Amino acid sequence: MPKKLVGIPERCIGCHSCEQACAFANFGVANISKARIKVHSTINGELRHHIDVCSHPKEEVELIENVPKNAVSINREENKIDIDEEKYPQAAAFLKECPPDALFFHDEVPYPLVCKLKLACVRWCPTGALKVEEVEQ
Amino acid sequence: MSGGYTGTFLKINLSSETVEEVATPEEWKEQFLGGRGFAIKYLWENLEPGTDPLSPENPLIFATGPITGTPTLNSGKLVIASKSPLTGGYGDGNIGTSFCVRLKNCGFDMVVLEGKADHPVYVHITPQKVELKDASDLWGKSVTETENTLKEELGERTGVLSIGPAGENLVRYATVLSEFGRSGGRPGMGTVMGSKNVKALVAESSEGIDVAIADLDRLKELSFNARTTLKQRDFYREWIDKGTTTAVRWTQENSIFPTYNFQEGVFEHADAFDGDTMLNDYKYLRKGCPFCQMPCGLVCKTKRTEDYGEVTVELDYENVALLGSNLGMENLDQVIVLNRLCDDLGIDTISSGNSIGFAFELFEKGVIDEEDTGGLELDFGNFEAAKTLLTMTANREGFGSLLAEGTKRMAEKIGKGSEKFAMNVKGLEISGYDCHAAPGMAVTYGVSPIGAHHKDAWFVAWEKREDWSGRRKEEMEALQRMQRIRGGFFEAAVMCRLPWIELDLPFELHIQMLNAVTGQDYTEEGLFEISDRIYALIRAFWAREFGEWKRRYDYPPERWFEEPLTDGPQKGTKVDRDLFERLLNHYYDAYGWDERGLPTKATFKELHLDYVMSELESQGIELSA
Repeated sequence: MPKKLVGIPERCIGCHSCEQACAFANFGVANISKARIKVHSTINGELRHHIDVCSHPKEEVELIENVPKNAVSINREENKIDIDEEKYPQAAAFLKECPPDALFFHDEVPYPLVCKLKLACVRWCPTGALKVEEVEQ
Repeated sequence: MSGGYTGTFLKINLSSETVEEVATPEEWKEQFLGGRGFAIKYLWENLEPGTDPLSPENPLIFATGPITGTPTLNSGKLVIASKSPLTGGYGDGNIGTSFCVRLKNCGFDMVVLEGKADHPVYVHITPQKVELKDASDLWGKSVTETENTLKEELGERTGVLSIGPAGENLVRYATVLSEFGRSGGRPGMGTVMGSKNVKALVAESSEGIDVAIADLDRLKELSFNARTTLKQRDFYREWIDKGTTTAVRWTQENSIFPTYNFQEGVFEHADAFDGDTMLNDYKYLRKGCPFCQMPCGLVCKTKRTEDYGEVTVELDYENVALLGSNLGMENLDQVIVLNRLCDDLGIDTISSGNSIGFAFELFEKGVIDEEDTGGLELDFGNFEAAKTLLTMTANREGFGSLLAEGTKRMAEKIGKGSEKFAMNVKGLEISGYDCHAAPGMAVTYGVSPIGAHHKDAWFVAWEKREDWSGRRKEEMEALQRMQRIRGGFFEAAVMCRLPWIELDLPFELHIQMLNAVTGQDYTEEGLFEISDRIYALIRAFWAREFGEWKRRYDYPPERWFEEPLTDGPQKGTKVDRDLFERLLNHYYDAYGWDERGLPTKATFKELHLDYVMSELESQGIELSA
């Protein structure tokens, strides 16, 4: 059964360990800017942690990473991901499922970044705020 | 391959609006490691002695270390340093926030701010560009509002350090804050930032660059072992639940819980403040610094909302002690409100708790009255007065303007023998440990490189662990070891000390991680030499600023020698003056310092600090052989 990564924000402590682990596992570098996951905290009256991640199985990631990043953008006004659907119909279908906050870009990487379930983040999270769930099809 | 450093530091002149990138000197890495080491080296080389700390000429330094921002656990910290407007000597403090990591990913080991902007600005740092941006709209805003506004504007992959109104209004103990209540730089680092018209620093790393690591696989393995070790510790669960507030019960049992402006070491309402009460009634969320594997952040919410409103804050032991028992408060709701006020105003909780406690005591003793306070009646337990005084202090209104000067200057102004219970060393207010029954900790506060703070050595933990009578030399060697690790290694590397001190993560493992990061071959001995060099240079800096050095500068307030505890199991206890002097001698001996507490020529030479000797001597400061 396919799997997906799920964040449990109530357990998150905002420490970015997942980002560090992710960048390391995927690119072999110390650079949280290359992570395929993001945590951030907001204070609207009280403090809350947020986890932005959208995982895809291997075969989907392969198609997504075939899309040049200039063919993808985040539409903030409508809060959605814009992608050339005619040229990349399959990748577009996969990315449609993603919240825009869980899609990432980096100068040095030619394609858009999504979680590819390496799961280093799950191992490194100090509080169990990330888990893998099986997806029913 | 070598790693850990970006190899570049950033010098920003706010007056001329120029930005310069400078290569991090190789010699600095070898001799001073990073963090605090870089800060004191920079100050020694660049600050004209006698400079007014609030003048444009005083540099404000934000220094990471080789460990900062690497995949080493608990590594998201940096050191903020400057000449202190509170003490007139060396001042620094560390802070754990994503800014530290992102600064590294922007490509910088250190940022130095010099000069003064002609209008409020914030410093916007990205890997591509460094800019000064207008912050007129943010001036006057609380820390929380400032950070929220900047993050909304610049995105979530940003780290922000900012000051509140207290820093703007030059309250001498304003700090630099980040991420909901993380606060660093007790000796007025926020004040120096305010004096430069800088509201915030932002490190935006959405296009961040890689930090070089000498042996990434080895580091990952070591870091994972370290994390496994922490999780297996018996104390881990309790730590995760209660963080530093576990200390409340312990300090109370040992008569070191600061109470009523350090008049007592036990507090009648201690149960209302301890870790269990915090956990069961107030805590709603945990929080950790970057890459933390044993988070101490206790995010709490008021319980009695009808009386105190809905207020949230990140609590820790020091805040509970200084804003709670030291002011005679009766519940954690009150501490939460006071603490949140400090965090929004950008003012140090420890010095605030001391300055208000001092004012309460002065009023109760009749040394000051309503005429001095502008009509306010002050007494211990008076929550409303404490709240009012905090705001008055941050805004420098009326009597608050005196409190904004800190306890040393307050006592000088008020006179009438009040300096005996102005609880500071060298002008920096005392943190959360009363020392009537802890002479070793009294020495620790006395000799701390920044004034009375426990960062360099939380020695009271070791002092209370065993009986040192008849072994005073060993006791002070133990203090030295603790300083070398905490004040030397952790402040220079820069890394959190809590895994080592609280959960006994072996120091050796830390050295191995540093070696994996840097590709160097550090040993304990070599790191201790770096630490001793940093300590000696900080001492020399104080002497250079003061134009002299005297043993009495290392003395804590007279209260601990003269007024015994009147309550609790240690009733009648005070610090024996002869014992204190003996301890101080052993301490100076351990470091190779003379009876004044200045390194001898031989010590300076051994530490390759020959250049320091000639400069001190040229100022007429005689050095011992």
